[in-house]
Amino acid sequence: MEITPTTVSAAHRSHWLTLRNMATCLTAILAMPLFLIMASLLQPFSDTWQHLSDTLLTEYVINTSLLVFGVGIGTLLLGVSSAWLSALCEFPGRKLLSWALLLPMAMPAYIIAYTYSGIFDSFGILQILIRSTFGWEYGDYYFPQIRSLGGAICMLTLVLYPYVYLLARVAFSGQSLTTFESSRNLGRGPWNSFFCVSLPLARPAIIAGLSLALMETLADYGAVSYFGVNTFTTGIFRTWQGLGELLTAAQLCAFLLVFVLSLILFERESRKRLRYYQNFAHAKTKLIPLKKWHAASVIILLSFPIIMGFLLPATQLTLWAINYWQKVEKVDFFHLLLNSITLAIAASVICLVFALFLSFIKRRFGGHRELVQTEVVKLGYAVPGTVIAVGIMLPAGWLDQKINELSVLWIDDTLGLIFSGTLGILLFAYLARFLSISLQAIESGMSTIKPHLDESALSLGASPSHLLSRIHLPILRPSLFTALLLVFVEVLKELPITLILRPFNFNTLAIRTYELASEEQLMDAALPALSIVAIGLVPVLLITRIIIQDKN
Amino acid sequence: MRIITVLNQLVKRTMKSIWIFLSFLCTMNSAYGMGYNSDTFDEELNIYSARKEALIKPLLDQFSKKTGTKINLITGTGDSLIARLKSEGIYSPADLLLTVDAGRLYRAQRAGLFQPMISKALSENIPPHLRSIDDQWFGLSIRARVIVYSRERVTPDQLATYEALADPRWRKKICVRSSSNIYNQSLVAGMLTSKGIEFTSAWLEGLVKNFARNPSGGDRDQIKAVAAGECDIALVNSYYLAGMLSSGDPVEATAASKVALFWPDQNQQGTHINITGVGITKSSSNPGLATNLIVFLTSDESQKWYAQVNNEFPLREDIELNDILKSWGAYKASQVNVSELGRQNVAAIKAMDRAGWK
Amino acid sequence: MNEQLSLNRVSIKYPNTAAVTNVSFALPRGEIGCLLGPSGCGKTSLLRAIAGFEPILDGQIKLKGNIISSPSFRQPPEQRSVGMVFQDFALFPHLTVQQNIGFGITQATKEQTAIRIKEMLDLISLQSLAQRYPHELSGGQQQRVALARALAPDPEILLLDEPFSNLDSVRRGQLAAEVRSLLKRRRITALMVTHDQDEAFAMSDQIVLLDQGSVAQIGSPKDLYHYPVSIFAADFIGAGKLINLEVDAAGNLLNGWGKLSNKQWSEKSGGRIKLLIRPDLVIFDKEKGHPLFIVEKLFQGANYLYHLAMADGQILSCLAPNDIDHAIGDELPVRFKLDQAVVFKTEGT
Repeated sequence: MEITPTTVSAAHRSHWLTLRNMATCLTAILAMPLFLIMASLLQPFSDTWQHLSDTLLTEYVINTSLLVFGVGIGTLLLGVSSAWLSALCEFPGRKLLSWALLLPMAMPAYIIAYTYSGIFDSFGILQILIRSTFGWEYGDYYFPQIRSLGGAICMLTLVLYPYVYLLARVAFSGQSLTTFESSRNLGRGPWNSFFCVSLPLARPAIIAGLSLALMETLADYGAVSYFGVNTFTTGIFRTWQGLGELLTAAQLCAFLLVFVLSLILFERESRKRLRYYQNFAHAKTKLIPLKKWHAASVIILLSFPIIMGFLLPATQLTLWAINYWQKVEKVDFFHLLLNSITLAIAASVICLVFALFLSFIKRRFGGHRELVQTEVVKLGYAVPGTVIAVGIMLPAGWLDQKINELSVLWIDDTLGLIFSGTLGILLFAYLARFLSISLQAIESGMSTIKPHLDESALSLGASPSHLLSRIHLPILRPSLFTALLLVFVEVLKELPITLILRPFNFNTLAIRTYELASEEQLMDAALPALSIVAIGLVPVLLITRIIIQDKN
Repeated sequence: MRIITVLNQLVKRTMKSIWIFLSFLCTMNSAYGMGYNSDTFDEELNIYSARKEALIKPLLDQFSKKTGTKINLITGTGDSLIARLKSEGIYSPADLLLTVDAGRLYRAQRAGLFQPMISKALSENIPPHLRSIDDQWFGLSIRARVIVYSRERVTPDQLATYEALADPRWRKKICVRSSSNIYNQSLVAGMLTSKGIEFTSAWLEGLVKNFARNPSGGDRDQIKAVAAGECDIALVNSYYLAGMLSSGDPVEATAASKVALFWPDQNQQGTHINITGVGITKSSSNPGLATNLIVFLTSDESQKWYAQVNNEFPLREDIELNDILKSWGAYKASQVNVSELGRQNVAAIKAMDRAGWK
Repeated sequence: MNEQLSLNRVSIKYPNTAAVTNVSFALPRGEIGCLLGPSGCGKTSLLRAIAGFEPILDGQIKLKGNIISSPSFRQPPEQRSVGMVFQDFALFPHLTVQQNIGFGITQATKEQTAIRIKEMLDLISLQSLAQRYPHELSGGQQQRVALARALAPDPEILLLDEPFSNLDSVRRGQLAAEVRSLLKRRRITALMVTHDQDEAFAMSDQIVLLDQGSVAQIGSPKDLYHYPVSIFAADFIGAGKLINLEVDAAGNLLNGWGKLSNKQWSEKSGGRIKLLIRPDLVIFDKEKGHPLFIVEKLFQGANYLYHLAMADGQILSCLAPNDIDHAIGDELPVRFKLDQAVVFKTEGT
C-alpha cells in the first residue's frame, strides 16, 4: 500500500519514516487515557459491581439507550429536514434561515438545561402565567415535566441537531439535482424521490453528523445530571465521587467506550462508499421554487429549532444578565473573557497542527497502522471530559514523581511538578479530546485532493514539508478554518477538563458559569453563560460562511 | 563525574525552557494581574478548594491583606481535587484542601493526604464534633439540612422528625434532589450512624414512596416545587432558602415567601448538619502559615462573614447571625461527630440505591 | 392523428434558463426527433419542459393528444410517462444496475418487475453486470444502463439530453447507431437534444434546428444538409464553407467557376451571393480544375481534407481520396459541383 515513488531518494525516505514514527508516538501518548481505561478491565472487578448490577446498572443502560435513541431520532428529524429544505428549496429568507439554523451550536447543553428549567419548571414563568391566567392550581392542568428523560432528549436534540444539519446540508447541496429529477421522471413523486434517492445518497454524511451528536450525548454530564436522568456518564461520576471507586468508574467507562466504538465502526462502514455518492454537480443546481403557503410553512418549520434552540434561551439569559449587570465585577469578568478566548485559540491551533500532521502522514502512507491511529485518536471525543482529565492527570503525576526522584538522585534537588497543574497539560488534554474534530474536518478536506497531485509533486522532487505547505494547505484552506472554529467553540464550552486540570488562579467563563449555576445562582450565571454563547456565535457564523456557500 | 555535571546542566536547562513554554499563557494571565502583584508578598499559600471561588475568595483576600501572604486558588469538585493531590504526591504545591462536606475530608484523610496539626487556637475555635478526632481536618462552617413546607397546605405541627417523612400520610408529597447529592448522602449516613442499617433501609423505602416526582434539579428547585404546589414539603439546605429570601429575583423571592422552614429532630438528637472544612496537606511546605489561615477562617470575624453574607451557620453559637437566620430561631444541631458521616457515606449511597432513590 | 408529441407555440422564460419563443413541432409515433442547436439556444429548456421540470410561459405541449403542459397547468413529471436519459446519466450510485433499472417500475408484481429487468438487461446486453454498482461501469455501460432504466417503465416518449456527450468519439458513433437501431426495433418515439450534428444525423428522422430560442428549420437530416433555408442553418450544418461571390444576370460566377442553374439564380440582374460549398462538392480534377493553393492538409484515413485558399483569401475545404497527395503550398486543381451548392442572396450592395 505504501507509495514510495522511485524518485524519492534514500535520505528522503528516512525523513518520511521519522515522521511516520513520530505520528505513532504522538498517537500512543494521546491514547494514554484510553489505554488506562481499557486496562482497568484487566483489574479484578470489585463488589461494587455486584451492587451496581443489583441496583442501577439496568437503569444506566436503559436510560442511556433511550437517550441515544431519542436524541438520534430528534437530531435526524430536525437536522435532515431542515438541511434538505434549506439546500434545495427556494423561499424568502432562505439564506438567513440557513445560517441561523446553526446558532444552537453555540449553546452549551448544560446552559440550555438550566434556562429551560427556569422557564418551564412548575415555578417557571410559563406555568405561573398559566395558573394566574386560568386561576388553576398545580395539577389542575397537564404540563410535561421538563426535568425528565424526555426533557433531556429535547434539550440535547435542540443543541446537537446542527451537527446533522451541517453535514447533511453539504451533502444535499452537493447532490446533482438531476438524480432527483430522474427519479421523478421514472414515476416517483417528490416524497418518494426524497426517501428513495436524496436521503440514501446523503446517508453517509448524515450518519457522520449523527455520530458526532450521539458522542456528545454519551459524554454529556451537565444536562442529564441536572435533569436527574441517570446515564452511564452520571454513573461513572457517581461511582467515582460518591462511592470513591475510581477503578470501578474506569471499568464502567470502558464499557461506555465499547458503545462508542461500535458507533464509530458503524459510521466508518457507512462512509465507505461516500466518494461515489457525492458526484458534485458542476452546474449550479437549480432550487425548487415553493408556492406561497408551502414557503410559509417551510419558514415556520425552520424557525422552530432556531427559536427553541437559541432565541428563547438566549432571550431568557439576556433578561437575567441585564438584571444582574450591576452585581458583576467588570475587571474580573474581563479576565474570564480573555482567559477563555486565549485558551480556546491556543487549543484550536494546537489541535489543527496535530490534525494536519496525522492526516498528512495517513495520506502519505495510508497503511493499516495509520488507519488504526486516526481511529484511536477519534475515540477521544466520545470519552467524557472528566475521564480524559483523570486519565491524563494520573500518568502526568506519575511522570512528575519519577522525574523528581531522578533529579534528586542526579542533581540533589527537586524540580517540582513539571507537567501537573500547568496550562501545557490542560492543552494536552484538550488535544486528546478535541483532536478528533479537527482531524475529521481535515480528513474530509484531504479526501477531495486527488492522489495524483501528491504523486506529481513528489516526482518533481518536493519534500514532505513542501508537499504540505505548497499543495495541501492552500487547497485545504476551508477545512482548516472549519477545524479551527469547531475546536474553538468546543473549548469555549468545555467544563470538566478545565475544572480538573487548570493551574492556580485560572478561571474561564465556563467555570464561572458552572460555579454559579451549581450554587444555584442561575441569574448570576447568566452573564458568563451568555458570553460563552455570544463568543461562540462568532465562529459559528464564520463556519456558515465557509461551508454553506450557496452556488448562486 | 563530569558527565553528571553536564547532565545536571542539561536537565535544568531543558526543564527551564519547558517551564517557560508551558507557563507562557500563565504568565500572560498574571501579567494583566488577578488582583495581586507577586513582588509585594513575602510568602505564598496554595489552596485546592471545592468551595466555589465566590464563596471563599473574599475571606482569602482579607487574609492576604492582613498578612501579606499571596494566596493561589484552584477550585473544583472535591473528588477531582483529591485525585489531583494524590497524583501529585509529595511534590504537590497545595498547602490546603478545602471541601464542602465531611465525607470528602474523611476520604482525603484515609488516602493519607493530610498532616495533623495540633493547635490550641484551633481546638478553641472549633467544637470537637466538627473536626477530626486526630486533628487532621477542621470544620469551617455549618450547613443544616432542614424541612421546608408549604405555608398554605402544611402546618408545622404536622412535622417532627426526618423519620416521620416516611409516613404514608406524605405519599407523593415530598420533593428532594438526587441521591448523587452529598447532603442527601450525609443525611442518610447520619441516620445509619444513629439507627443502623435495617432501620435506615426501611425508612428509605417509605421515604422514596413519598416522593412527588423523580428527584432532579437543585435545592432551590425543590423549594420552588413546594411553592408551585407540586409537592408539600422538601428537604433542603437552609442557606438556599435564605439565599432565595434575599434574592433580587422576584420569582425566587416569591417562591421563598410561600414556604417556611422547620427544624427537624429537635426532640431527638438534633437537626442533621454537615460542614465545610479544611485540612493541611502532607506536601505543604508551610504548615505554620496554613494553620494561621485556618485560625483566621475560624476567627470571630470570618465566622461572622459566613453567617452574614453566606447564610451558613457559624461554628460557635456566640456569633451574630443575619436577620433571616435569626428569624428561624435557635435550633438544636446534631452532636454526632461529622467524621461518622464520612465513614458511612458509601453505605448510605448503597442503601439509597437499593431503595430506588434516583 | 398519429402525433405522439406535439408542441404548439411554446414559450419558456425562467430565470437562469435560456429563453424559448414560439416553438411548434410535432413528432409522429415511432420517430426519432432531434433538437439541434448551439449551446444556449434553449434546446435543453424545451426538453426539460416536456419532461415537466420547467413551467411554460405560453403555448401547450401535448402527449398523445393530451395536454401535459400549458401556462395554467403542469402535470407533475412522475405522472407524464416520459422517459429521460440525462446528460450525466444520473444513475443512482447507491443502487445496483438491476435496482437502477427496476426503479421506475412501480405498478408491477415482483415477478413482472424481474422479467422486465431481465428483458432490459438483454436489450442492452449487460446481463453479466446486473449486480454491479454504477461506479464500477465504464461510461458506455453507464449510458446503456441509463437508457434501459428510462425504457423500463415503457414510457410514451423517450427524451435524451446530450446522450453521448460524456463518451469518447469512437464509442459515440458506435453507440449512436446501436441506440438508434434499438429504438427503431421497438418503435419507440424519442426526442434527443444535441449540439453535435453528427449525432443528430446518425440518430434522428427529424431535426428541429433551433437558433436563439426559435425554430430555424425543421426537416429530415438530408433536407437540412442539402437545403438549408437560412445562412444560420447552412453555417451550422455540415462542414461547408460560405463563400462570398459575385454573379451576373445569367447566373455566371464572375470568378469563372461556372454557371448557376435557373433554380439557383433567377434574378433579373447580377449581384452578390453567399455560396455554401461543402467539401464533397469540391472535386479534384487534374485537367479542367481551377488551381487553388493548399494552406492546410488533414489526413482522415480514406481521405485528405484540404483547406484551399482562393485568390481573395477566402478558404474552402475539399475532400479528396487519399491517393491524391499534395504538399502544403502546392496548387490543387479542383472543379465544383455547383448544382448542389446552396445560394444565398446577400442583401445590400
